[in-house]
Amino acid sequence: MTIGVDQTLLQAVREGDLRARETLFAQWLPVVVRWCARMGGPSVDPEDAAADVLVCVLTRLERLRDLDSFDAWLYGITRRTLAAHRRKAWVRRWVPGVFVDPDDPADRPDRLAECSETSARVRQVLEELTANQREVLVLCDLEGRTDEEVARLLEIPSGTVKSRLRLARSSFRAGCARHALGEPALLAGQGGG
Amino acid sequence: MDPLHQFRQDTEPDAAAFGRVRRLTESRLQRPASVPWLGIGLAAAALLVVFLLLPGQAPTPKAVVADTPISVATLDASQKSLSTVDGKVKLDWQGSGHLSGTNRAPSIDWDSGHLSVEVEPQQGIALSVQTREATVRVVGTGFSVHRDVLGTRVEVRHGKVQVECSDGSSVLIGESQSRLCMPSSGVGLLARARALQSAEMPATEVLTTVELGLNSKDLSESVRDELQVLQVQELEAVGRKEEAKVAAERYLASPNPPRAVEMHRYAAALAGEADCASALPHLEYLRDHGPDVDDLQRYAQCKAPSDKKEARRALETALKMSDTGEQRAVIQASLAALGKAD
Repeated sequence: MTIGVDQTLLQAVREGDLRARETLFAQWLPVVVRWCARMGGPSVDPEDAAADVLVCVLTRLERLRDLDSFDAWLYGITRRTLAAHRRKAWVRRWVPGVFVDPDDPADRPDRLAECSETSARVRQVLEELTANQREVLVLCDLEGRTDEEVARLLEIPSGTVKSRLRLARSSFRAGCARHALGEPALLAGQGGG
Repeated sequence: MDPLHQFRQDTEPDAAAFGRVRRLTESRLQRPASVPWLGIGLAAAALLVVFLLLPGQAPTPKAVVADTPISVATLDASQKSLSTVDGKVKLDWQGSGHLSGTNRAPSIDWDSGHLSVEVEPQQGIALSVQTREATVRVVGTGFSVHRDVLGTRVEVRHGKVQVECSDGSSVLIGESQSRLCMPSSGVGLLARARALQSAEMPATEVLTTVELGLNSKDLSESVRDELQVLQVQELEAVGRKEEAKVAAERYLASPNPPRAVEMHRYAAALAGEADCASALPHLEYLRDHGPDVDDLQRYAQCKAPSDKKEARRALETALKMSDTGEQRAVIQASLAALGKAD
């Protein structure tokens, strides 16, 4: 799941090497789309948000000083982009007509059909967590990252990851019970804690 | 199937998704870098100045409408617009409500969604729109009312409207201005706080709504419980740990709080790794009310200096509950450390 940061590749992308850009896409695009799909919530189109993240990465890569921290930088961009998309969805609810968006992800029949009832409820439970808790739960328990990996991505101490994860799991379990989802077995197992 | 596993499967993107992201990315990269907003703004300002300097036309007096009962109508999804009072009042909506009153004083009870109103000026038409949070009174103007879980928002396109919020505040707003009337009931404020939290709006805004909710008069026990839980979560999220701790203790002090296990876990975590004295009462509660492996490990860690036997018991229970090699290894190491300390 974890991808190492290839400084040579990043340097080549900076210098305009299109083949290197393709390789970077192949490595990181799936990661970004997954983050957007799992943390964006029902009002955010994950593919639309992922495209914004990648545009931001490709246009700002030159400004990244420490190439070794590329993954944390990428995660930070994803987090800010998702927050912006959530706010945009919020404004869209307030002022219909401000954003003409015929491709509203919440209404797309293909998306509705492909998302099971269980997943819709899991998404609802994730939405009820705070943003901090949601991200540690997704990164540790859904993506199977270790505390140290998540601490690096979020640029916080691993002790903070542990305490957030503990609270996130507790809230998530309570949410699963409220939404009649049963005990999520994965939480007892991987990552964190 | 385990719900998280199901969710992971359902959110695993396929090749079509990757293709769409690539297409969107490429097309956005090829867009012009920037729009000359400054130039557009200056041109618009110049046009506005020219428009304002043109000699104005005196309004033509028009006949006032007769004060007869209006054609009552239900505004719902079966229609999208309505022209009434001889075409002098035009309504467009996406949502639901009800129109009644007289031609001189049409009255709309708006339940939810977006309503746009145009009232022809100088016709003596005093229209009002009521929602649970607001009353809007107008005489010849164009405005819209939007009501959802976050409250009622009134926006004026032209003319002036008087907005009275259910909290007693009243304000006259003019062209391009807007006014938000928040829900005033506890349950309404809880719904607003949740919606704000979900939209990742600033935690301070969520907290303001939660605090208004906690101070509202008609608070049921279950709504107060949920608002208190939200308060603890948001205070913790913004790093106001001391206040979060106090809020968690306050919640736990209420009789039979429904989310006691969750809040005891918060309180234990907020006490910090070092403060076992504050954490222990919460960890003891968790030990007796469906603990998880983490709870028992933390409990053992806090109990070990004073009662090694109890600490060992907790670790042995945790060992039975653990289902990964990694967890078992950590617990066994703790047990071994306890054995050495003996």
